Amino acid sequence: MHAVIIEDLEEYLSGSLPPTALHRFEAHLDACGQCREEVARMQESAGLFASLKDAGPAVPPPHFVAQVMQNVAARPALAFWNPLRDFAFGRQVVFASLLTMAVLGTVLVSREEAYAPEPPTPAALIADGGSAPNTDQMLVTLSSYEP
Amino acid sequence: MGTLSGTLPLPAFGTTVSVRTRVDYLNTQEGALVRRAQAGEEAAFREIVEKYQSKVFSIIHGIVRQRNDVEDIAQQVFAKVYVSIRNFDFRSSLITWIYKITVNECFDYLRKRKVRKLVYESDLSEDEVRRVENAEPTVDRHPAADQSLASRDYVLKLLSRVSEEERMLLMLKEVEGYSVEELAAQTGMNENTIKVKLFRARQKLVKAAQRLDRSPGLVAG
Repeated sequence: MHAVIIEDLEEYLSGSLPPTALHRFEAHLDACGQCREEVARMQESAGLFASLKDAGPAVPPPHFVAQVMQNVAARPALAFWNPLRDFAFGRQVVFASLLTMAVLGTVLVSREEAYAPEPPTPAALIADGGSAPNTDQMLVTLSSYEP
Repeated sequence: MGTLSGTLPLPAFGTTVSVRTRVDYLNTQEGALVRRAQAGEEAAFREIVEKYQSKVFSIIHGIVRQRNDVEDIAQQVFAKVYVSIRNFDFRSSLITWIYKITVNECFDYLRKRKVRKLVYESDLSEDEVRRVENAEPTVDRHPAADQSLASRDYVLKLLSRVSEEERMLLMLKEVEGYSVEELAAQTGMNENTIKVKLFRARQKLVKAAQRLDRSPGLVAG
């Protein structure tokens, strides 16, 4: 359907389109078979809504408000976790928790790398030869050392 | 002009409406009432029920038509309003929000009733089902009333094929008689957005009607 029709469709369907706009709208419908067909179908479905109007009076009974208040008073008190039952709120909490864990995890891992003691260099080992537990360990350290 | 004007002051038809902001609504008398209800004040909630009970009843009656069930559904509507009012964000008016809840409760009721009916029918034998389906009505009904009921059932089937928001907009426009301008004021959406949403909703109705007409036995929902 063309933009000129979509723009004025609602006013056209409710019969409230001003004369100039109505003339332009109808001129387009005359020229465009596709829009004409679609608008006709939409008019038909709009006409069906009349069956939902004028159902006759439906007066609430005198006890209705009291009954509503009684029902809400009888509801169990909300537990503190009840907001989590709301799907949207729960989703936000889960997302916030995951984000927090991701940030904390990143911070902790980076700190661990920063504070991890560096393995002793061979020069430090040789200089400290007296306090080394044994020569075997010194050899292992020397062979596995990576600068 | 919208028929909700008795409950909420609306601008006269044809006047320019400035977009109502959330802050504007918060500062109204009704905004203050909602905030009191959100804080748990029972008197405020009672005031809301008293104010909107008639409107809720007439919306339900327009859709459901079974007088016995109207009150039950209305009870469920206000129970939902009570539980959910903390989530009301003032983007739309309170009556628009309650209207949406009411329409959704009606469609939930219709869907459950259809399921119960199908279960009941499955307990009948084939001959019994055929006899029930072909039975002449036992009461004389006015042909116009029959036609109206048939149209109502048909449009309700079509409406079950659109989203909740689209259903609400269509009903506010077609049943309550709101203009696009008034819908913008009530829902907090801008007019172009409403036009596009209504257009898409109408396209879906047309498609659903074409499908139903091709397969009359197709049960929507």
